[in-house]
Amino acid sequence: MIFSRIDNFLKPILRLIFRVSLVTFLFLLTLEYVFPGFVTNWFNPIWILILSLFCAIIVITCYD
Amino acid sequence: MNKRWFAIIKILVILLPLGLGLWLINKNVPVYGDLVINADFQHAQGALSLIGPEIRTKYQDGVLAILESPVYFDLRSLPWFKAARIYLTFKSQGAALEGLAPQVGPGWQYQLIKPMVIMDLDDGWQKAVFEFNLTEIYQAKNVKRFLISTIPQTDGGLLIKDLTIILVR
Repeated sequence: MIFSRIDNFLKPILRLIFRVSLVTFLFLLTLEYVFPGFVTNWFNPIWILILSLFCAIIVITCYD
Repeated sequence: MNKRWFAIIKILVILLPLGLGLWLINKNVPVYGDLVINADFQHAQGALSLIGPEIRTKYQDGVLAILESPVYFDLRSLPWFKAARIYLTFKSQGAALEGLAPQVGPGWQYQLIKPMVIMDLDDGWQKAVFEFNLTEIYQAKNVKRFLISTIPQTDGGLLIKDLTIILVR
């Protein structure tokens, strides 16, 4: 019972994090391409891609 | 209850990248026009590399010794920064500072620039100030290379305590 409630709660959140972080990563990638150093001078954006892939893998393997 | 929490988390997840974007803009386009970069002699930064090659330098107690000349560092600056002021705090210990040499063309093309002014600090430390027009410096993609040139006098090297770069729009 409790697990199904967590599932119903967690699944849309993970989906949302996946979408938002993937779009953020693609946006930062474009920005970095136009102005090299705009993003990578301050942090490594690959962590955002890893977060989005992590969420996607959890959603696919645990809920679908 | 669940719906309310979901709405709050949704707003937070959407606000985070917006905050990240604002932080990035604030970092890259400083309000007052100057971006200050302090060199870390132990870790490479995004905007500023380590002073290399490693074999010619020796780091000890917050001070970097240049054992052999020249050494280099790479600066990655964004296109809207047109000028750079470089402050180098150094102490001669067998070698004198000759100047900084930015790369002005592909390959081994460097133009030696003497310091604009050298100030005397405590304990024999001195601070040299350089000014560069970044539009005249050659860059591979967005990497500008600078050499630090020293003149050996006796056995020893040049000690560097601080390297500060101020990028000006």
